[in-house]
Amino acid sequence: MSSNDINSQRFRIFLIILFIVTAALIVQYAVIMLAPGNSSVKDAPQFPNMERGGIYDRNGRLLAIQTRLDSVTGWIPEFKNKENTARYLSEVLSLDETELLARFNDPTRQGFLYIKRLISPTESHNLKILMGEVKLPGIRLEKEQGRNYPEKELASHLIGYVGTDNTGLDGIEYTFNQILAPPSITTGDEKILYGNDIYLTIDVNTQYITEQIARRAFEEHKPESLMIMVMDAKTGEFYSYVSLPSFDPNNFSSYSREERNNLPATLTYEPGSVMKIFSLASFMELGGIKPQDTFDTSNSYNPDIFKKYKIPPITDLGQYGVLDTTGILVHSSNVGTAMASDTVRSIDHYNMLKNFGFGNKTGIPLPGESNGILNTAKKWSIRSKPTIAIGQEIGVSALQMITAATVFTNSGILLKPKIIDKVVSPEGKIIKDYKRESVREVVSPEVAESILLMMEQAVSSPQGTVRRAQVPGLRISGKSGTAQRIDPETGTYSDEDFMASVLAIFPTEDPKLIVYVIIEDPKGQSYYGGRIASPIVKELAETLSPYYGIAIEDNQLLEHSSSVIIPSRNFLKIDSTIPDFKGMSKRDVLFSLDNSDIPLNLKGEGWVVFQFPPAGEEINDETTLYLEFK
Amino acid sequence: MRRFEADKIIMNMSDSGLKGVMFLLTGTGVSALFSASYHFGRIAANNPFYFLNKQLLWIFLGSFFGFVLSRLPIAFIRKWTVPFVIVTVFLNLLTYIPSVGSHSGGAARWIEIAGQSFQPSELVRVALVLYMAHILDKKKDDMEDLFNSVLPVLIVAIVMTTIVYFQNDFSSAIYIFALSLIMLFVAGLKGSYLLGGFLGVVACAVPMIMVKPYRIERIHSWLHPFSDPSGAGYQLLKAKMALQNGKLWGLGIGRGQIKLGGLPAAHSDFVFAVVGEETGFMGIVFILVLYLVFALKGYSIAMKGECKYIRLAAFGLTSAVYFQVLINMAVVSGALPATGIPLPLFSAGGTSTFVTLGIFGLLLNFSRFAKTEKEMACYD
Repeated sequence: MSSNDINSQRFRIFLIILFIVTAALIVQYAVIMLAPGNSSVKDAPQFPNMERGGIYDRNGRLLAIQTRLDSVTGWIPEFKNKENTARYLSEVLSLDETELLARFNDPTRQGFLYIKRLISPTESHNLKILMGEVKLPGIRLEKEQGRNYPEKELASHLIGYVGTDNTGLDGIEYTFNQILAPPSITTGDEKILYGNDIYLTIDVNTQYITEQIARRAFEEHKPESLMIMVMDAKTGEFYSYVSLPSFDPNNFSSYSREERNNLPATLTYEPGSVMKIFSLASFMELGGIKPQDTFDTSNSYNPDIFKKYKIPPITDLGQYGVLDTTGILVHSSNVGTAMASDTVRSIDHYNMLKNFGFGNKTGIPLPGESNGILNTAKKWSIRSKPTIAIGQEIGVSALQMITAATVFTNSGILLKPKIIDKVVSPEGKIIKDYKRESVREVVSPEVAESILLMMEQAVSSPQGTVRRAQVPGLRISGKSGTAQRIDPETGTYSDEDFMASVLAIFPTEDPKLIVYVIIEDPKGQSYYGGRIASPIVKELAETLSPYYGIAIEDNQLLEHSSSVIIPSRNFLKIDSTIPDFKGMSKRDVLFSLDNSDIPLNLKGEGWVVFQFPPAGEEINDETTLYLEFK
Repeated sequence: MRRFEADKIIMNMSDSGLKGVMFLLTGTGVSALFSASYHFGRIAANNPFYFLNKQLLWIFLGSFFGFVLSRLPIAFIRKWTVPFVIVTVFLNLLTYIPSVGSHSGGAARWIEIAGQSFQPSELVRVALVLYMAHILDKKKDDMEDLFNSVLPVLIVAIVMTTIVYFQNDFSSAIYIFALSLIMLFVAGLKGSYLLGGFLGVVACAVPMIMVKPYRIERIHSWLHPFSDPSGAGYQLLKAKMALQNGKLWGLGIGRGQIKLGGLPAAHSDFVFAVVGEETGFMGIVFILVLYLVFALKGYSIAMKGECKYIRLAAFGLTSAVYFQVLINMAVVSGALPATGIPLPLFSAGGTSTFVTLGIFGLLLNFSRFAKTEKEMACYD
């Protein structure tokens, strides 16, 4: 071939390369499609095929359930008119039109995009109508796994929430993600796999009541935050777990990080005087003090070493004179507690607090649990021992506090807090049943008992700091606390930010419930824990006691057995006269007349509104009973 | 008058094998498109036949267009090549006018003509190939002369590439420039010129990739599709899953799952994934072999062509179709990063179908001449 024509040698090279490329492509397809066990794709997250398990309360009431919701997707190359598409969609999906248009015009995302994921059924219905009226090329609806929380804000911090890719992002949804949605092993096929169900120890009724009480208090005191927890005194199971402000997990993204914060687990604060019950228990257990020991609290606690280093003395709010150990608790005397702390060594005090669980996570399966702050005894200053004894210089979480209180209700044994009752497989088999778990013996049964009795005095005594929690006919043990919050900016105690709290246990003689109320930075007239948190404890005790079969003597409430009695049917006995059928249901009427041979003439459905003959008339052979139902 | 009679004889002599392959490709393509698009059509347009109807309309128009092209005298085609190039450039420039250009995918790639959107960049490959064949044949004795033969061709190629590039169609721009380089290569351009051109492309492409971060993202998601499974790597993963589901024989035509929502725009650039899922590896091989037969037929026309014009034009047009096939299939299998290159006759797209059928017509036209010994139609 001449040089001015097409170059046959180059043409051959070209053809050979083309053949090689084509062959390589066939091999590539063969490798993808035919190679067995090609796992690269199998490792990819399998979002749509896994139906996440549900979350239930202890009685099987639904708290979180999987749903299939529509997601609106866009394929931008298909769009004909971005402006119109944005306008229509923003209207139906309540999105911002300019923002949506900006997303459509974003050069970095010019293929597939999610316009809005997991839209509500109403939005989906409206969108389908719209798509029937105007052409929206490139817009489509895709079914996706969604999560629905029928109880909305109820126990939301505990339950957590699920991201749009069906992955738990917080709470139990996060920590139990692998259980609720086990990683799928199969790919490709359309079989839906089901995750396990989780039953919480929470009781929806108790949770609801607690939340109502908490919300009212929140309204009244307008605090930064408010926490209430109710725990079974004997098993460590949480019945309710409230943290305000809260959020609706159905719509979690529209809430701030603060509202979603699970405060009882994550917030570290100085517990204040409530700490005294653990301190005094420690001193008694260590043999430093006895219940009948007396302390003269007339002067402030100001030992020589304090004077030497110019450390401000520890003082009381009032003048309490000579107090015994009970008196220290009743008046919440700082001076008395500080004096009592002199009877033990720092290292022993530290070890006791460690045994109560301070400075360590409780091990509850919630994300972000705080360790609290408890410095080792070596790092303690001269001031530390008495200061920690009155609940300062120590950081705790609300979870640690209520858990530590189980020591007093279980003869000195610390329990592990329980939030999960059981895990049930999709087939209904109980995979894991969480039993009561004791951690260690912290104090002797006698010390535990006497602390409970001393705490009772703090409620029942007219001078007691928790006297506003008194419920006539119910023995309550309680301790209040008011702590200054450390201002994060100055590092010193804030004058305005207080933590008011009460920890209560009832009934004292046989503890059933532990209640802990914490109010952060209340805005009302008083910030004292005893004054503002005690009434909440009282309300909780009054409301919850009947529900948990706790006798309040005035009410003459009988302790009922755990079995539920279904009221017997309103059956009538037919003898010689016609009974009064008015208001009876058709079922009951038919059941009552089952054994009689009176001819019946029944009209309508429902309940009896008219009868003939009227009640009291004699029955004879000719009697025909006419009943009208409505 | 003599020419006219010759045409009549030649008419029956166009390559029947080539014709058969073209029929098979068109038929298979439209079937695959229907299977891939009926679900989406039902959702998006409330009509499962929406995409099928559209495609059938364009096949009808395209077949007519191809038929006309297959019967035009070559001399006529050559005479009108330069005006065609000018019209193509004009139409492409229209996309820059906001009221005419229809924005989609971040770029104005469409213009609206009588209610139908039209993608003028699809015309570029035909215009460029015909123009290059025309000029390179005309200047075949000046191939060593840089300014006289190479430069005009190169300038037109660069202008076309730039226009397409600024329609935000980077991959099509690369495709068009690569096509012109390969034509120059086969046309016997001096090696040093070619090397210079190639280096020029690389020097231009790198900053162009850097300018638009999403291109880097696309390349990244191609290399690591699992790093962002719900974002840029999503389509790739879904396409791969569809192919895996297909195995050897496929799930059966119409039984694919991925088009039911897993794979966005399954009827568009990723239609081959649906084909793979439904007809399996055997279906993939069948279609690839069909295209290969088409390419071999086209290249044999190029080999046997009467003159340099026919050879180059046949070579260029065959390559224009076959390159698209290779690029699209490579993208679907994950061997190349995602581009906007359709699978001719399979992907939904009116202009692409219309132009591909036009190319078929031209090739049939050339094949007729390739078989006749009687006439030398290749003159200026």
